[in-house]
Formats: sequence, structure tokens, C-alpha cells
Amino acid sequence: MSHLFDERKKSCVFSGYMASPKLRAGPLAAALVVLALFVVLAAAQRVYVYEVESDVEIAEDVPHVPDISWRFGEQLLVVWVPRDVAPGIILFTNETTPIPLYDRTYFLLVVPADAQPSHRAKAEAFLKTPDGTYPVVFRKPDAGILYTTAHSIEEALTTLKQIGLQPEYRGKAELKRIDTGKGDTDAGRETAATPTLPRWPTTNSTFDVYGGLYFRETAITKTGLVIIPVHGTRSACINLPYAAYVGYDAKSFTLGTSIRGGAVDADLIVYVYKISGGYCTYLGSQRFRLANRTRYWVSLINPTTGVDQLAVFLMLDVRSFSGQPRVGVNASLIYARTYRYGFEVGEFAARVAGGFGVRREVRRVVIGPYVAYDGYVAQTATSSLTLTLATEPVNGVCKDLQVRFTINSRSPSGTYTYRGRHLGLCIYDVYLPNIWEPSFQVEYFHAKAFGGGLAWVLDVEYTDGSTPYVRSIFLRSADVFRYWRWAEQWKTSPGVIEGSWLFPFLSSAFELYAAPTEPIPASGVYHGLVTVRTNTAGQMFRAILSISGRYTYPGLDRAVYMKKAEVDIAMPLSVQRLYAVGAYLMPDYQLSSIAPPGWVREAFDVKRVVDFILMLAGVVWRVSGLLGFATGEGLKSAGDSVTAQAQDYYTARITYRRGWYTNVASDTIIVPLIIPSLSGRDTPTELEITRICLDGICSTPGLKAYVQPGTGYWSLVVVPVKNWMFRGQVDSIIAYEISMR
Amino acid sequence: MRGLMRDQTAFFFLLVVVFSLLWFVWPWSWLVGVFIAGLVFLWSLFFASCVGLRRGFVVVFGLVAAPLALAPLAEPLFLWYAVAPLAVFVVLVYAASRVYGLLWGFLFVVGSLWLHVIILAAVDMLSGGLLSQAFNMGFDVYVRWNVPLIAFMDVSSLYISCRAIKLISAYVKKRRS
Repeated sequence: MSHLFDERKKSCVFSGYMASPKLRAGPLAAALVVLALFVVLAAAQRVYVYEVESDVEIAEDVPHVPDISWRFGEQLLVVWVPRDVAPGIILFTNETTPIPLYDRTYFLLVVPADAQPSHRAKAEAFLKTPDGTYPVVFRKPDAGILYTTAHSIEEALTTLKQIGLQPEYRGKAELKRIDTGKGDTDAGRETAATPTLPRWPTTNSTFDVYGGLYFRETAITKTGLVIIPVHGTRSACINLPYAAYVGYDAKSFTLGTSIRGGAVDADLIVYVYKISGGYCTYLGSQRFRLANRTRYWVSLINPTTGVDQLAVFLMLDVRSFSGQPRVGVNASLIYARTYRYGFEVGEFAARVAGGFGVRREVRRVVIGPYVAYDGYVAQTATSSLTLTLATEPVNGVCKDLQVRFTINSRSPSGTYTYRGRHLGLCIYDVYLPNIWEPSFQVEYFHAKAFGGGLAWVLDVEYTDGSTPYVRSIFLRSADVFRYWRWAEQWKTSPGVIEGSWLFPFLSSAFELYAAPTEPIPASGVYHGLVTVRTNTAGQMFRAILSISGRYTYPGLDRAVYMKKAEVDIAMPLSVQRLYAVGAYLMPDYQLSSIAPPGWVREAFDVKRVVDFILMLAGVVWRVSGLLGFATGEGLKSAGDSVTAQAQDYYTARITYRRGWYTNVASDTIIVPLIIPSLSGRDTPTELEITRICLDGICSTPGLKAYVQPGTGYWSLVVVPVKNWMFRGQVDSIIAYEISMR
Repeated sequence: MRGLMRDQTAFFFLLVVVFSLLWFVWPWSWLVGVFIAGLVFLWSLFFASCVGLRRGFVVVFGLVAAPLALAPLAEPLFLWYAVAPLAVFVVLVYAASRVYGLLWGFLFVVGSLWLHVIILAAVDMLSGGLLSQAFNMGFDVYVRWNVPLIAFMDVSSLYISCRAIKLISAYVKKRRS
């Protein structure tokens, strides 16, 4: 903490707060709180709230009315509310629940009641309300609030009151673009071709790369300044604890908030620093009014400031609170990156497989959520979602079924009509021909800001508007989402690689949801994850697999951990002498080596002697058939094991088996690999995961990861911090110290 | 059926096969030890019945098999997984020696085992390596067909080899007398 106060003195950023009055406990404090509330209410500004139908999809650029001036500048506040709520099923939990459908063309707009718009201003659209017409332009928000989200109009009005406004609902309004030719429509999405990605990026091509920062949820127990620390154990700079590393070439930065367990009246303050020589130097700060489920745009982080290595530090300035509020903040970022060396990009593939019993009327089908993996490379998302829907015929006929595909129940990716085949039931072969990439980008950026995932939400209805009775849904093994992912937020420069590339973080990942059999209520759904990280030359382990798998039984609140996994790795080199060791990743993030229990190991030694004696007795083949098999294999399979076996010259199979005797409470294993043929390479080497079988559920994902060459680059030392993560923060100097047997 | 009950060897043959079929539904937990113990126990009784089973051996084989089931409760008992085949072998030789004398009893057991191994090797060859594949698969949590197959083939071949050795020994005895 002393560093923090040093920093305060240096930058004088905090000087105003250090001088701010502190509340004293007791009746005086209560009186002051009441007084403060009274002042806030008295000062509350009257605003009109309109329910807007728009022909403009609102995302990162939000409506402004030129020449008005209120506490949010020229900006109008956008509040998302559901267009409708209908019964739906979340496939992976087999849970029926009302599912809201949001729409980027339907929202509430908050306009100051005394707004006097200038009609001479150049407008991109007009907002027609019962109270008049306003010219509107779209740009990044003046006041930083991109939008807030509410479950209903009533909740939206409450949220607005919490941020010191006095809202009045004034009915419906219309937002119409002047040049309607620019609008995105579902028709446009339907005709959009599936992006045909090149096999791999070409050197020196540039990309927008999306990532996230994660901060610890913070309990509010006092008024005044409260630090929101970054996740993990390392700060981005030596002189400022709890700062988050942003890195180079950040183009855009947004924050998402959540408030649970109470209400809090506070400002969220974002301090932006430049990192040089490991020390943070203050660049500036921005202050926002904290609101629940709200996303903020931090303009201080932009292509101009992003040329430096940046860090951010978050604080709350709490005026008052009630209940026991916990404030959660996450950040989403866009970086500019150049592909230089041929190993910076990996892949993410999300899959689903299996049949799901539904047996109810549903309008919404949720497939997901999948992890929104850090490092998504823009313009590379694909999907080949393929499913078969079986519905009850209506009066003996199969009506045409209309399916609207949306990502996260918010951004559409096309509407298609399917004709049913009458086979006792009505069978619809539903196939999504393409993903609408702009929708994916918007939702990915949104998801990272709120620490959320990505799901397909299918809005299904008959073309006459009625709701189908769905019997079952069968999902074919196909990519639900797939995209390239940048291995790090670290950049590469011509001729120089930053030191942190020595320990690259997650590079390629495969995520699977599956229902191995048609479930009944409270039955199990399988969730698996396989990642490949690649290490640089000089490390003993050149590739590290992590394999997770578990059945969850939502209705029973029970999980069964992975018992067997097979991963086939192919490379354009020999896999001879490839060697694998294994360890469980325990719930406390410690590693626990995978090895047979002590007495089982001793028994193996004794067995060698006994087998020799039995061999002398003349029983040579498998000792004595069934007897030797049962005892020998019983012993062998008692403990956990990880083995690597060559399938052919280029392919090795890594097999994990959970022993019948052991019962380690972990669903994840870490398997570092020694690959002797990689030594001395002067070009990147492509590793391909050709086959993954998790607990008998097999896929052929063709997932690629690239290993750095051994020679030819200078290394640049930087602060050893990493922010991108899955299952916790990992810094760059993690070492895989797993004993080899 | 009555004939079958009279033929102890056929009876235990059937028991081994039926018991091995339980592997299809056997849970992958500490109970695997119980399965192995059961299989070893029934297999020993089956082979001993071919030699000439006395009631006392049921208890002896039970005692030999029990530690296999109990190993998960006391880890040092896993050593018994290494020793149990030898123990079963010794008890079988002892059982045979009670009938045929020590040397002939030993030769009876070893001969039967040898012959059954030869039969299994022949079946393996004729089936294009199916049996080797089943053996190589070991105990797998998800692939279960191999254990009942091995059990069936093993007791079948042992049944034939044991009968054959019996005939041979009877023939030799007759010639010598």
C-alpha cells in the first residue's frame, strides 16, 4: 500500500480525495447521510424516458442531441429492456425458464426534460417523441455511459433514480436514420456469405484483437475511497499495487459493472497510467456515476495513448450505501496487433453434441454459454451450428418453422424458415449458414465487459406466430463458435519478442458441451475443455495440455469428474520419444502429481518377481489367462495414469485414466509434454489436435497451435504480468514443476 | 440343468461367464476390487473343480480372493494383487497333488494351463488378433466388452484343456498299470 500512497504524492491525482471530508460514526453520520440524500434528491434532474423503436442498431456509438447541455453532455442515455419474454429452455441445464429477447433496435432513451435541441444542427437521424422531434448524431458517449440494462421498464426507472435522475415515462418514440440505406437488416445477414478464412494469416497482416481485464468483486463496507483490485497477485507496476496491465496498442477500453446485495451511490474512478521501466506514471483519470449492469467507455485509452504500455487502476468514491453491496467490474479491450512471426495466433473451437429431450412448448432455445476466450481476432468467427428439431404435428400437419438466430439473446445473425418432414413427428433440419460477424464482435465485447460468455439463443416459432411443442433437439457435432485467438496481449515488434512470450499463456482451446444420452429432468450434461499452451525453446516442456471434464447434474447439485481422456496431437515431425507427465490441478490451483499410490507401485515391483516365478513354471502367456489378466489389470488400473503413445510417425495419443481406487477431487489435469523433435527448429511448428475423446465423447476438432522456433529473435524484458485468464489469474513466470518418473 | 449341477466344472464355468457379464454395469469405483476378487474366486473354483474340488478349498480360495476386495480399505493389501496368482497356482497344485500326487498334480495344473494358453493363442490367430486386442485393452472405464470375452474364452479353453489333460493322464495311468 505504501507504493500507492507514494503514487498519490507523485501524481497528486488523489489529493482532492485525501482532503475530502470523512464521515464520523454515530448520529452525526446518519444525519449527514439523510442530508446528502435530500440534497441529491433535490438536485435530481427531471428526464423523459421514451420507449424507442429504431431503424439504427445501437452498439458502441450512442445517440447524442447536438447543442443540448446537461450532466451527460449532449448524450442521451440508452437503457436496454427486453422486447419480449417467452418460455425457453437452456439445453445444458435442461432448465425451462422465461428468456428475454433484447433487440439492438428497441431500447429506452433518456432525454433531459428541458432539452432545447438546435434544429440547425447536422443530424444523422431524428428522434420523434410525443414531446417533439430531436436531431440525433451517433458517436462514442460524451459522459462515458454506453448503456445500461434492465429487466423491465419499471426496473429501468428505478436504476435512473439511483443515479440521481427524476425519470418520467412518456410513451413510445421513433428513431429514424436519415439515410436508411446504411441500416443492417436480417435480409442482409441471410445473404452474407460465410467468411472463408485463409488457412492461416500472412506475415505482417494486422488485426483487431479483443481481450479482457478482471477485477476482484469488492464488498462496500465504508464510504469514501475503495480500491477495486485487479485479479491475481501481481500489479502491473512496482509503485502501484492492484493496477491492471493493459499493455501496448490498446485502441478501445470499456468497463462493465454489477452491483449485488444492496445499493450503492458512488462514482467509479478510472486512473490510467503509462508503464516505463516497471513504474507507473500518471496519464489521467475519468469519473463515472456507478450504476448496475452498466457499461462505460474510457476515452483516455485510445490509439494515441495506446502507443505506450498502459495500466489502469480502479477506485470507487462511495457517497452512501445500503445493504451489503458487492461491486463487480470487468473490462473489455480492443488491441491492434501485427502478425509477424507465425506463432502468435491459436484457435478456439466450441462444440456441442448429443440429444436433448425437451417435451414442452418453447419459444427460445439456449445453446451455451461458452467461454468468451480472450484474444478473439476480429473477422475470424465462424459457426456451423446444425441441429434437428422434432416437434409435435399440429392437426396432423407440419407447419413451417421460423428460426431467428441471436447471440446472447441480443444481436441477430439471421432469420430462416424451415420446412418440416412428417415422420410421425415433424422433423426440422436447422442449419445456420453463417455467423453475422458484426453481431459477434458486439456481443463478444459486451460479454468481456461483464465477465460473461457467449451463447446462441434461437427464437423458434411457426410462421403463423404460434409456439411449437418441441419433443427433442439433436445437435450434430459441429462448431458452435470458432475463431482465431491471439495468444497474448503482448505485442511483437520487428526483430524483437517481449520476454513474456517465453511463457505464452493459453494459445488454443476446445470447449465441449454434450448430452451423451437423451436426458430426463435432473440428468447429466457433460462439459469439457482442452487447451494447448506452447512454450518457447529452452523450456523442458514445449507444449502443455490441460484437460478438464465433468458431468453435472443440475437437478441433483452433483458433479462427476472426468474418468478418461484421449487427445491426439499431430505435428509435421516425428513423435518418437515424446514424453508426457501429468498432474491434477487442484481447486486451490496447486498441482498434484499423477502417479500410482505408494503400495500399488510396490505391488508392481513384487509382481515382476512373481511373474518371473510363474514364467518358470511354464505359464508364459499373460501368466495364466484370466487370473493374471484380472489381477494384473486390476492393479494397473487402480491408480491414475497419463501416458503418451505414438499412433504413427506424426501422431501421438495422450491418454489419461482415472484409477478405480483413487478419487482425487479435481476435474482438470495438466499434461506438460517433452517433444525432442522440436529442438533446433528455426521456423514455427504447427501442432494439431486431431482428435479429442473426453469420457468417450469424441470430436475431431482440427485445432491448431503453433510452437515458437528455437532461434533467431531478440528478447525484450518486460514486467512479468499476465491478465488474460481462465480459472484464475496466471502470471508469466509460472513454472511447470512436475516431477518426472 | 440337473446334469449341469452334477457337473461341477460346467456349473462354475457358467458362474464365471455370468459373473463376468456383470462387468458391463459394474461401477468404476472401489467396487472394482470386489469384482476382481469375485472373478478370481470363481475362476479358482472352476479350475479346482476340474481337478477335483473338496469343500475345504472353497474357504481357502475365499481367503485367497478376499484381500483383493479389501485392498481399497487397507492399501498394503494391493501387494496381494501381485502375489494372488502365485497363491492360487500353489493351492491348485496342492489340490491336484491330493488327487494325483505331487509331481503329477503339478504337471496336471501346468499342463492344463499350457494347453489352454495354446488354445487361446490359436483362437487369437484365427480371429485376427481379437483376443490380443481384448487383453491389451485392459480394464477400461468405458470399453467393457473385453472382460466377458476374455472370461468366456479363458474358461472355455481351460475346460477343454483340463478335460484333455485328464484323458491323457487316465490314458498314461492305464498304460502304466
